[in-house]
Order: sequence, then structure tokens, then C-alpha cells
Amino acid sequence: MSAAKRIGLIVLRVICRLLFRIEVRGNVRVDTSKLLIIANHESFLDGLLLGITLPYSPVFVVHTGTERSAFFRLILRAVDHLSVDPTSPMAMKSVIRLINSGRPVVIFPEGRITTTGSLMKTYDGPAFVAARTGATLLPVRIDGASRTYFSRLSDHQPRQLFPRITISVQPATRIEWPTEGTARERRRRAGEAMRRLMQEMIFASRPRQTLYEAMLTAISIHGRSWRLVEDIKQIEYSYGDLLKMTLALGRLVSRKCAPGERVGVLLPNLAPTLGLIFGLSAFRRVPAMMNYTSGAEGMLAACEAASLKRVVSSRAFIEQAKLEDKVAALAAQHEIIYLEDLRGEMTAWDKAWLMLWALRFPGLAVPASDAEEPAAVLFTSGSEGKPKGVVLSHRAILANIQQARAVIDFSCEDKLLNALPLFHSFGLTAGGLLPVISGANVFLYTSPLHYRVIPELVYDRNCTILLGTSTFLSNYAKHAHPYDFYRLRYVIAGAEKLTQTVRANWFEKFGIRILEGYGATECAPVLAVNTRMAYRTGSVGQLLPGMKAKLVPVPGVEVGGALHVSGPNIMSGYLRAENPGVLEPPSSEVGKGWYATGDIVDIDADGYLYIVGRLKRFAKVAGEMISLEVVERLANQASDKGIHAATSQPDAARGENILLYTTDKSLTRDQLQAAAKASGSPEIAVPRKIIVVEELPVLGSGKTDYVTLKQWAETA
Amino acid sequence: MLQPVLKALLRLMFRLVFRVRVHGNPDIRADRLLIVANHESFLDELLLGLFLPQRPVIVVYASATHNRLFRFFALGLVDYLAIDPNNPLELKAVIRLLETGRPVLIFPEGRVTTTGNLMKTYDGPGFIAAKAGATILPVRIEGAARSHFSLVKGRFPRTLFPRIRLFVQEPTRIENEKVSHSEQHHLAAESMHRVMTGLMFAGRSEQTLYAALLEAARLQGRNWRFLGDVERVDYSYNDLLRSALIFGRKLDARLAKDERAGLLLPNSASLLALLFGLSAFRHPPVLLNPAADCELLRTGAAGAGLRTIITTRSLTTQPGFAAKLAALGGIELILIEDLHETVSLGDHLWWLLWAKARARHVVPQGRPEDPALVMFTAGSGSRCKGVVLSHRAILSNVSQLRSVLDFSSNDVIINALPLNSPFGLTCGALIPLLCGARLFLYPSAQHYRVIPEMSYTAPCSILFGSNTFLAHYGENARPFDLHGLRYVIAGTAPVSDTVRQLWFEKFGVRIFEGYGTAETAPVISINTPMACRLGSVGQFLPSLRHRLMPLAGVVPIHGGRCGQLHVAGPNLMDGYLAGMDTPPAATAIPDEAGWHDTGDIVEIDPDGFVYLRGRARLELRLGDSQVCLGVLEMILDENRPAGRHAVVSDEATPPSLTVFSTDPMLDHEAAMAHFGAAGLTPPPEAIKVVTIDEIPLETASNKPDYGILRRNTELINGQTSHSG
Repeated sequence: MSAAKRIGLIVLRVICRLLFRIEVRGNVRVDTSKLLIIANHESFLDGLLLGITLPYSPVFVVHTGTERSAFFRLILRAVDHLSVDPTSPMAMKSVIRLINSGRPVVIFPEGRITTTGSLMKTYDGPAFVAARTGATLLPVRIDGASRTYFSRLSDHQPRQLFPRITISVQPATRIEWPTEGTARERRRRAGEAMRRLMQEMIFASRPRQTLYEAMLTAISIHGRSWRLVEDIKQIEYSYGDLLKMTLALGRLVSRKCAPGERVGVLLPNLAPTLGLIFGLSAFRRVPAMMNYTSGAEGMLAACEAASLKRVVSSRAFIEQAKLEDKVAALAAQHEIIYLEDLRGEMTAWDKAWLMLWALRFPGLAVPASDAEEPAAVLFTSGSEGKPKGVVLSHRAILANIQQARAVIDFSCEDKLLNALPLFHSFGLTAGGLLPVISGANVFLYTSPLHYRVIPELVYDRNCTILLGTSTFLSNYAKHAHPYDFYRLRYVIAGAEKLTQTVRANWFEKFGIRILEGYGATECAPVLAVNTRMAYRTGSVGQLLPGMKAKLVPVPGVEVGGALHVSGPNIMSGYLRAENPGVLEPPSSEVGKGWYATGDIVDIDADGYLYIVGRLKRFAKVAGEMISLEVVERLANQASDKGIHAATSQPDAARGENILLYTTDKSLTRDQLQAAAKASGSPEIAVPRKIIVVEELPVLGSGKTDYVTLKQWAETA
Repeated sequence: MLQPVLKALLRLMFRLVFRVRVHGNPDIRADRLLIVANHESFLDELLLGLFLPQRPVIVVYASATHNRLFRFFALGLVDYLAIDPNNPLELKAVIRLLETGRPVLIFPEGRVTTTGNLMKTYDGPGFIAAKAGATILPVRIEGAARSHFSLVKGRFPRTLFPRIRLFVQEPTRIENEKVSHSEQHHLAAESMHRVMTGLMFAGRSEQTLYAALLEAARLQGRNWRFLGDVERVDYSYNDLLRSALIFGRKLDARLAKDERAGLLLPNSASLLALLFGLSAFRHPPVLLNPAADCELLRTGAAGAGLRTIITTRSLTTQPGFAAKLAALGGIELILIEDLHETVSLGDHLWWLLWAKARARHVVPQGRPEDPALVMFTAGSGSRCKGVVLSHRAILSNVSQLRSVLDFSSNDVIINALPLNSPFGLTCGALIPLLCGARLFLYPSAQHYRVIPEMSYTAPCSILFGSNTFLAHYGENARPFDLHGLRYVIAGTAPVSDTVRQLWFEKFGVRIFEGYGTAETAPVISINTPMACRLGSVGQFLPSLRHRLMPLAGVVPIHGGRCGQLHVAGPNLMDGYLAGMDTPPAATAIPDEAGWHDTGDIVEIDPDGFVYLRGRARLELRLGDSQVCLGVLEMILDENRPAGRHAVVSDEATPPSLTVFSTDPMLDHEAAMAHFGAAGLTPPPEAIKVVTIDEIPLETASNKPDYGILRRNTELINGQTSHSG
């Protein structure tokens, strides 16, 4: 390198460091003998940024298309580069030669600058190079460059002249050359491995923050005037409004309770509810999200488990949702704080604090707290007994949000319709907190059961993302006009198995492929999801980046095993009614820090998860384990008209009997037997009794209420 | 007192700044008059309030009236009624209002369009119209979407004061049929939607291709760089016009008056420029297929009476092409490269100083009814016919499609289908060109790896293809390659389930299947986001009339009506080139007075979706019954989907049939059983069933080669008689 070049480089480095406040994280000192550096591609500056921050003077592999621009030819003259066509196998050979010669090489596996702000497709070529040379792979995440004017995001995304740029260097790794399959298959596998690696990289480089800090970061990117939260009042609240709500509500409520105290939140999907959640957690109080559909008994059990003393609610909500009786039962033992009363408690001093101090220096207005502290308590749906409190830390919730963002591109151009209640983990994380943290718009709707209103709202408010369960989606499809969903980009289904009819209906009527996911409250909540890049019908997608899974064989079950998971998004622990207020950290037979999902899962060679059944939803009939979900599938095959649910009752002779509850009056055992024969299921899986009911019991989350069903079965 | 004066003043102002013109007769009086209009902007209420003589009560949705500005400016001078569209009681209020005799105006879309095209129509207005038995007066507003009062997103050409036109259509009604209540509701809503799509189509202007191009250039801006090919990626409307005019003028000098000229070129911007240039100078271009065989080219050129063909050097240097050129004999070949070289400074100056500003006037005045171009139907030998299409036919089909699909200048289209096929030309080039979508013309649809890759980098939002092409693209593309796709439109052959499944699984994209013929310029029906049914080819386009000729042995399988499809409509051709070897002047008109027999056996289900069942061909009298060989093939194909079948006749006395099948399980008895089930009873002795390994296919059309099969029959018959 000539002296002039070297001086130029130093000058550039100083200028860039000053302007962009570049921060380099991680260890850059690695063995450079065979080094392949891979980075995500955010802007035209990326090459420059890497060139001045990495101490290797690497050769940049650029797309041949780049050379067409005169401006780039000029820039490329200054750096060592090799221009290749990423689709051509011959071109990759030259990259391999380059690496074998010992020069460090930089490749952008996406091949082009992101237009979505997230990871785009990764070409197979770089993976082929990495696997073939056995090079040390150094993943580098560039974060922030997409907000400069040198990126290719659409005009609606926020830009700054000199945003802060972080370059996170991840631990070095390798990609193994797959040993099985045809050459083409191996290339594809290596490419998949590279995509996973990039996704892991995006996720691993996330900042460690609390919910409140994450919101402040989002505000600094999008600005306080960015309007993003809308609720049933059809007012669009901006970040500024949300911050004000957060600080005011946080201060007023936290005055009534001790630091670290868990406070019940009994509120519907409204913008102030979001403000309260952020506010409580910012002031180190833990919002415990109460399920108002669960009945007085369930709510009391939840209060007991989380040892709540106070519950925040609203008079208007209680009146509209007709909760007077339930709240009266709660009020006997707990203090109810009404939002309506809080307004009166706001003193002049509070106002001065808010306007003059807190809103100006939001980072300093709240007590310091740690990402490991609890951020929220949710309650399990209680489909298998008394509700348990699940304590989620800031780390767990934010990790899950980042994991979801690593695989699905949410941006501020999206608008999410969230009708799932905020006390539901999916509704809270994906439908409430994710939009605030990523700058996406959200419409909070109070009930998922308004099947006519919701499609109309999606159309009228131009929503692009819809969350739901199979049952809800099936009903939306039934009542929607084919054009209502024309703007939807993503429909994500969780909580229960997506049926084939719903999937086919949505595709035929709206041209939308529903992405099925899988989660548990204990995982804050998403574990796996199908994405545009990795989709397989019938599966629930691949595990999210950063998660580890183990399958423990279950006797009597041939395919798959009981799924145990661990990862940064796992809860801090349970709060049980039997042991009120005591945190029980997660642990399973696999080890400490692991969570047993209680599901029997099969994982295929490409890492897709298939849910076989719920461990507890097996009936032991004459010594054989029969999945009740298989029974329901048989019923769905035999009749796609009604809704079916299977349960079991004890039987002296056979151990257990299978019962099928259905809404289809015409369903007979013969039809089920025929379906069993057609699908090759054992004869024993055909239920003993078919009981026709008007309606099946349903929980607030849209899942079938199997506890009630089991009670029915015992008396049947 | 003040109001009429204010209104008159405003009317004058609108006439001046928006140059508002009302087409058609707005002065319709009826006892119960319901006026329906599309909704382009926030000006619409005021506009219609000012220019419709009936002084209607305007129904607006309650949510819109929350805006104070809107209430004051748009609704200040008109009578309005605010309702909630989902509340049945409030719909009743509108019916009552109609019954008092006041004319009522309603926007069935309920909201201002965000796509520039028709959005969904609510059920309410259809229900009101049917329930009140009202006379419906459809009014199309055109141009208001280009003002700053509209909500269209993205790159959409706007001006301060666009020209606004109101097209008043013929009054119509929605019949209140005697069916169940919910059914009636549904039918009324469907009829209203049809009225609205018809409305969007009816607003089209009658013009020539060249005039349509000029208008698109004016709307989108002459400098909008929308067109690309393998040579260059950024041609603007000005570039296209310049090439069209300079080439057109040069060729005009070499050709006799109204003489046709052949175009033998791969997909490129030059081909498009020549097409517009030649048709503007009244020399209908004849689009020849470079992939066609010698015989086809020769008969085609002779049939069209060609003396000149324009081609390119890259083609002439291709191996094997010399033979084709030799077959053409006696025809003058002009290389486009040579044409480029003759463009002089004078031509450039002519364009810059004269033609650029007066583009409308430097070409001879054309009429919409004049022939615009000649294309060939698919097929080989004598069955390949030249089709003469008028400007009116082509532009009608463009408008028909645009009324059901919302293509816009935000779209990016990669077209690899040849422009000399009707589907490739109308859908793949003219629609994008006329609506300002960015268009990339790619010369070969068979580059299965390149096209998905291009669609990733573009990123492409609309893709056209046939079943085979889509299968290959799907196979070669990575899931993210097609992430920008909004529409995938398939024509020419039915889309197979495997392809549909592949596209669902890998990309989550629904393929919209369409159906058309060269004679209808070309689209007859298409699936759209509003109305899609997998397996069907969609509903008929607006303004297209159809009738079904019953055929014996065709049994409905979708609960609809079946028969051989005849169509009529504004997009129908002028006629065929009469006899390929006879002089070109005369062209035959389509079957009896404006109807065209498609020769396809279709079924139309109760919701108006069209299903293709088979090809009707060759009717024959067998014993007592009249049978159509196509129907027999259809019956076998539907009952034995695993095999392929072809039926060949032997017109000896008595006539007999030979059924060729690749299904070894199909014997004489089984075949007769299938025919019997469909109600056909041909005499058993007249039918012979032969199992063969493979049905010989014609390469061009992928249809059975009946010529070879017939020779086979003779062979088989010869053998049997010999052994007998």
C-alpha cells in the first residue's frame, strides 16, 4: 500500500468515525490465513465502512452490475476488488482461488443492498465458497447505515444525514460442506446454512436494553411526531403521545406501589394500555396482564399466583365489558386503581415534572434498571389447569422481538391489525410491543371475535399484517370481501393448528399464504415461524435464530419426541398459585434453563418443525398412546363442515375412552372409520362416542377450552 | 338565493380550470333514480353535485364527514345523507329516500380509490337498487384521480388542474329475482359490481394505437423512462416516439399506400417502436414469429401479401435462419441496423424542431376502425390463420383488462413472451406501455434461470407466462426472488395443479389464469383479485357477450351451463386474411355478423366463472347419432386423467372412429361405458380403441398431431383387413 493511500485511509477513518460515531463491537483479531468476511448489505457505504474499520485490507467481491455505474468505478479504483456474477458457478471458482491464496475476502451474501431494511435472499455462491475452502467465516453486522441517504430503502423510511453506525463482529465460525445428496442439493443446503448464519448474526448483534430504552431508541430513529398507534377511537397516537402516556401513567401508578411490585392490568386493547405497560416497567413495577375472559375464579387464581395487591382498570371498560361482578370479587381482596381517577391525582408539580423534565430528558426521568429484571407477567391460558404466572424479563421479550425481526421484515411502512388481546403473549409481544419498538403502525382492536368488522377494518385502515388463530382466520375469510385483504403482506397464525381448509380458502379467495408459527407464553412467545424465505406447508417453520432445541423420545410415540427448548427468549420462571410469589426458574429433564414445551414435535432434515401432538393430549387406550389431535384430524377429514374436539374419559376396562364433541349433526362413526381407513390410522383412534353440541367451549385466545371439555366428558 | 349563484359560479370555474366535460346524456329523469359513480377524489361529491342536472342527494359514509374541511368544501353546496354502510337500518333510510322520488347518488366503492382503479364495491348499493327497483344511472369520473385531491399512492402522475371528464352511461336496472333472501343480496351485489366494472371500461376513448401512446405519454410525462430491453434499460416515451416516427416515416417512403410490412424481430424496444410507427403511418405491421418454420413463414408472408420484411442482423446470422429467409424468396429484407444507419442529421432535426411538438399531426389521421396489425393464430400449416385486428379491438381489450386489473406506473413488468403472440403483445407490452408501468422486454422466455434472477433485482411486480414457463421459473427461482410479485398471469394453456402447488409452497403466490384467442385481441376471461376461482379461467371481461351452442354429451361438472363458446364484443377482430395464398386485399368477416366461434367447449358456473373443458372439433354422423370428436376426447380426458387421448375419424362408409389412448386400462368396453354415462350412444362397432405409448404432438401447439394419427389408422386398418 502506498503512503498516499495509507494517509488517505487514516483521514477517511477519522472523518467517518466522527460523523457516524462508528462503534465497533466484538473481537476483530482472528486468524487471517483463510478468512472470509460476510456482512449484511445496508447501503452504498458498506464497503467503505468495512474497509476503514477492519484491520485486514481485504479484497471486496462485488456484483458485476456495480461496475456499470461510473461513480462506483471511481470508488472501486481505490480498493482491491473482484467483480463477479453471483449466479455464475465459474465466478465462484475465482473467489475460491483468491481465498486459498491467503487474502482476506469480503462478500455480501445478499448480493444487493437491502430494499426492505431486513435481510434479503442470500445467494448460494458465497456459501459454496465458504464450505469448499473451509475458510474461517467472520460474520459482521452493519447496523445504522440503512438510515443514511446512501441506502435503497423506500422514501417513507426515516433517514438521517449522519446516523450512528454500529459494526458488530461476531465470533468466527465455519460452514461444513454437506456430505449427502446431489451436488445441487448440497449447494442448496450450504446456502441455507449461510442464510441461517446471517439471521443468527442479525439477532446476536442486538443491543441489551429494557423495553423503555428500546422505545427511546425507536423514538430517536423515527422521531416523536411519527404516528403509529391507533385504537378503536380512530385517533392516531404519535411516539410523543405514547411517551407522555408512559411517563405520566408510570409515575402516577408507581407512586401507589413499591419498586419491584407486580401490578395487575385489567384493560382492553387500547393505546393507554400500551402506555401503562411501558410506564410500569420503566418505573420498575411489573405489569401482570390479567385475562378478563377467564371468569372471576381464574382472575383470582392469577392474582394469587402472582401475589398481586393492586389492579389497574378502567370504569368505562368494566361497564362496557360487563365485568362488574368479577371486579367486585377482585375488589374484596385487592385495591383497584381506576384510570379515570388517576387524571384527578395529577398535581401541578407532576405536570411540571412531566413537561419540563421527563419529556425533555426521558432517559434520565426513570430509575435505572437492568435487562434481566422482570418486564411483564403473563398467565398461561389455563387450558390444562389453574393459570400459572409466567415472568418475562426485558431480555426475553426484546430477544423474541429481535428474533422475529431477523426472519420477517417489519418496517414503518407496515400496519399491523392486532385484535388478539394484550394479555395473550402473542398479542402482547407481536401485536403490542413489536410495533412500538420497530416503528411499524398498529391498530389495536378490542375483540378478535368481531368477524365482520375486522376484515372491513383491514381494508379501511390499509393494514398489511394480520395476526390470528386458525379459528379466527377461518371466520374472517368467511365474512370478508375478496378485496378486503388486498394490501395484506403477512398473515401469521399461531396458538392452534392451522387447518388445510383455512389455508386453501385464504389462498383461493385472497391469494394469501398464511404463515403458521408456533409459540408458548414461556418463550415470550414465538419459537418457530414459517417465513417467506423458509416455508413448508404443514410445518410451523424453522426455529428462530438463537434458540436451541432437544427432542426427548417418548415411549409409545414413534415419530418425533418431546420438545425442550432454551434460548434468550425463555422466561425467568413460573409463579404458581400453590407457591404464591415464589419464582420457579425454568428447568426440565434436559437441564437447567431449558423449558419443556409439552409438545411432541418432529424436526426434518432442513430444520422444519412439525407438531405431532400435545403430550397431555394423548389418551391411553388399551395400552396404546393415541393422540387426540389425530382423532380431530380424522373428524376434519370426515366432515369439514363443523368444528370438532376430542377428549377422553376414564374407562375401567380399556384405561381410557375417546370422546368426540362436534357441531356437525350428521357425523357418524362409520364416516370416521372410513376416514381412518383412508388415512391409515389405527382403528382404535376412532372415538367411542360422538356427542353433538351447539357450540364448543372456547377460551379468550380462540383455543378450544379442553378443561371444560374434559369436565363435560367426565359426566357424559 | 345565494346558493344557485354560487353554484353557477363554481360550475364556470370548474369548466375553466378542470376543463370539465360531460359525455353522454345526463338528463335522465326517472321515478326512482339511483346514480352510481366511481370514486376518484375528494372533489367527486362537489363535481357531481354541480354537473348533474338532477340535484341528487349524495350518500356519504359517516366516517368521511368527521373531516371539517371536507364537510365544508365538498358537501357545503350539496344535499347529503351520512350513513354507516354496514348498518342495514341506515340502508333502509336510503331506500325510503328513493321512494320519495328524490334522485340519490351513491359511490358503491365507499371510499376514494388508492389504486387509481376500481376498488371493492359494497353490498349495500346493490341491495338498495334491487330493493327499491330503482333505475341506475352509472357515471364515470375520469381524471380527478390525477388532481391533488386524490389518494393514489406511489408514482402516479398528478397535475394541479387535470382535465376531468364525466361519462354518463345508459341507464340500467338490477332485477329483483325471486330467490332466497341471502342469495338475492349476493346477486344484487354481484350485479352492482358488474355495473361498476362495465363503467370503468365504458369510459375508454375511441382512438388509434398511436394516439393512445401519445395520451399515455402526456399523462405520464414524456420523459418517464419506463422501457428497457437487453440493449438499454431506460427508454422514455420521447425515445419511443422518436424511433416510431423516424422509422415510420422512412418506411412510409418505401412502401405503397396502405401496404403491410412484416416484422420479424425478437422482443425489443425497436420492435415496439416499429409497431407504433408503421401503424401510425397506416401500414399495418404483420407480426411474424422468428421461431416459426419455413413453411409457416412463407405462407404467412404470402397470405399477408408482404413485399417487405424488417428483421435484425442478430437473427440473420443465426444458424438455420438462412433457409427460412430463402423460403421467403422475392421479399425485400430490411435490417433494422441498416435502417438505423440511414437516420441522418436531417431526421434528427425534423424530430427535434418539428415532430416532437406536433406529434399528433405529423402522421396521417387514423380511424379506430382501421386495421392496426396482423397476427397469426397458434398452430401449423393451413390451420394457422392471419388475424386482422383493428385499433378499436386492441384498445378495447386493453381497457377491458384495465377495468379489472389495477396495473399502474408503480408496477415493474418483465415480459419474455414474444410480442408476436397476442397475449405477449396486448398484456405484456401494450397495457404496461399505456398505463406507464415500467416494462422490460426480454427476448427469450426460455432463459429459466435469468428471468427469476432479473425479477429479484428489478424487483418485478407482474409476470406473464404459460404453464410450462411458470413451471420452470418456479423450479429455478429461490423463494425470495419473486418477493415483489403482485400478479402472475398465465394464459395459452391450463395451469396444472403441480405448478400451482409449487408456486404456493415456494413463493406464496396465486397464479391468475386467463383465457383468450388471437381473434379476440386476445383476452376473453381472466381471474382477478376480486373474483378468483382456482381451476377456472375467471369471469368474462366487461362488454363481452357470449352464447353457448349446446353439444351432445357435455355434462356439467361445476353445476353450470355447458356448450361451445361463441363470443362477440368490441375486442373482436375484423376478420381473417382470406386464404393464405390468395391476394391479400379482402378479409373475411368473423362468423355470422360479429360473432366468433372459439371452438372451445366451456362450462359457465352460476357465479359466471368459465371452465375450459375441451376443444370441439369435427362433427360426424355415426349411426343415428351426431357426435363431436372433441367431446369424445373431452369425456375420455376427464374420466381418465392419467392418460392422453385422441380420436380420429375414418370417413369411409360406414364412417368409423379410432380412439388412441396412452392408458392401457382403457378398452372398448370402458370407453363405451364412459360415452354412455355422458348420454352418447354411438354404434359400438363403429369405434375402435388402440393403446399407444405416446400420442404424437405438434411442436407448435402441443396438441395431438392428427395427420400422423390418421396415417396410423390407415396402417392399423390395413393390417386388420390383411389379417382378416
